[in-house]
Amino acid sequence: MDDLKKIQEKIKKIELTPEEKKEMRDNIIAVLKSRPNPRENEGGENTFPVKSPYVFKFKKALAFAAIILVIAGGMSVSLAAENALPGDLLYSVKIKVNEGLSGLMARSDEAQVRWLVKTAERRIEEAEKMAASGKLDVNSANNIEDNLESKTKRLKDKLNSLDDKESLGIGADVVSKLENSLSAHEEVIKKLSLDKGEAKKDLDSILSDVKSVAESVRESRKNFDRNAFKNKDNKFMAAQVRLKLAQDSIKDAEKALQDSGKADDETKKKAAESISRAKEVILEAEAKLRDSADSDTLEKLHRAVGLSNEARVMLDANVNLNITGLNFSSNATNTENATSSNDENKGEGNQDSDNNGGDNEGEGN
Amino acid sequence: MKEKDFLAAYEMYSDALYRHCYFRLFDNEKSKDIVQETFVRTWNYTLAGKEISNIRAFLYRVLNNLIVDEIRKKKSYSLEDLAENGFQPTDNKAGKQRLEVVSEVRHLMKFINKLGEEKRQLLMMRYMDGLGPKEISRILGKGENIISVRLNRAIKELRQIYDNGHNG
Repeated sequence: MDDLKKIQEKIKKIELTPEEKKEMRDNIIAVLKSRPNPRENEGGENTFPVKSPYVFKFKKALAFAAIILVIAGGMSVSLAAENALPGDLLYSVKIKVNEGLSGLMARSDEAQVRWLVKTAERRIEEAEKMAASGKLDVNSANNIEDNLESKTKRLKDKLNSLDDKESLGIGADVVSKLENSLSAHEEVIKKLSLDKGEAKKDLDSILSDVKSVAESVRESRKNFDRNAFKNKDNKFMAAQVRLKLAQDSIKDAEKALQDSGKADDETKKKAAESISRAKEVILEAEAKLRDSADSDTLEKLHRAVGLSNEARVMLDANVNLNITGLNFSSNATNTENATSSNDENKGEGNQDSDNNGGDNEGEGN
Repeated sequence: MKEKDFLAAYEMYSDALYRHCYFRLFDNEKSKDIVQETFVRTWNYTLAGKEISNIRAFLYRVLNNLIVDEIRKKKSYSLEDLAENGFQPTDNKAGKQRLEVVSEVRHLMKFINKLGEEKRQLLMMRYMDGLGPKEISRILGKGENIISVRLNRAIKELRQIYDNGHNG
């Protein structure tokens, strides 16, 4: 790498010629003088971090081999691989065979979105499991982040490519679920970061990615909700889809509570409270739906999904990761607070681990 | 910000911004457009009465956003495109110097291009633009510790790629 320094010196010689510099300066001054009022989008847009395009090419030969592996008795290998973590022998089977096959079979836009969401969540869960067991290191964190980056980029591209009709159902359901799931995982990772000092740097880096994705997904979900109100039929359809999602989320959470024999009493109590509030919020939303669906209805249902999702994640973290003391900001006691959006609640008093007390100027975004 | 201070910033940073853009996009004309747009947008920001506490970090942030937008429009910017689009064969001294540097850098850039866009960007900001982790963290809006962690990873990965490429 000695040539690196030499090249570094040479690179510094690349610059504008005096003529180019003068021409540019003259252009800038001319533009400024011709535009007395500032333009609206100043300072550049805050864009989603752009990652290298990841083209998922599942070669036919590999796909065929994977099918043979499963059919010819490799099922046990495939199943065993489901619990593999980065660094384990079967991890590549988990990613390339198990997830790869599911991806191949996802034909419709909705199926592809669900697959991308599921695989992104699996990366986050892997990071949590590894951190909880003290196995998270710089290499595994790097692998997880790279994979998470590529999945979320593809997810965003896929969501942007959907037309209004396709996006309505997906936005009402999958995106709402993902946003809530990411918020819940943020809390788990923050807690792990506090508890597991040796992995703090890597966890903070992963947390930064998860927050960035959550913010982007939140933006998508809000766009979907706004689009839903373009016409009467759309908003009712969106509300019905989300109502079903909220009801299913409560069932999942109740099942998790039923199966959480090993969870401690405090966690079970908090989870039961969350589920109970989710049910109250649904009742309020249903009452509104009888008259009309409005943006508040969609927001309430989104909130209900969030509450039941938090209960499920809390129980899972307690049972499988031995995490206690998770305190979602949604643990308010009255249902009026439950109508606020996730990000408003989470903003209160929470220190963002990304910021080290430095400037937080809004410029340039 | 006063006009004379703004023009002083232009004199001080335009070359570095151009260089950064050039090695992200490998397109001479597009790089000049983007640098110009960066300064126009920055000036308009100040016209709106907003304060800029660190002009260098601000300029890089605007530049970076414009580069990202450009990359999204065009799937890939490659050294191979450079010969066709970004570099005009010319007899003048500047053109010949760029050609010489690009030819030498091409070898290294092949390794750097194997890194993801974010890692590439971090390495360029740190080692080409001479920005510290704190400034980079302001530009990208991420915590300083996270920038340091990711920079170390990028260097480690580049080293591995470079060693494999040389020994393999």
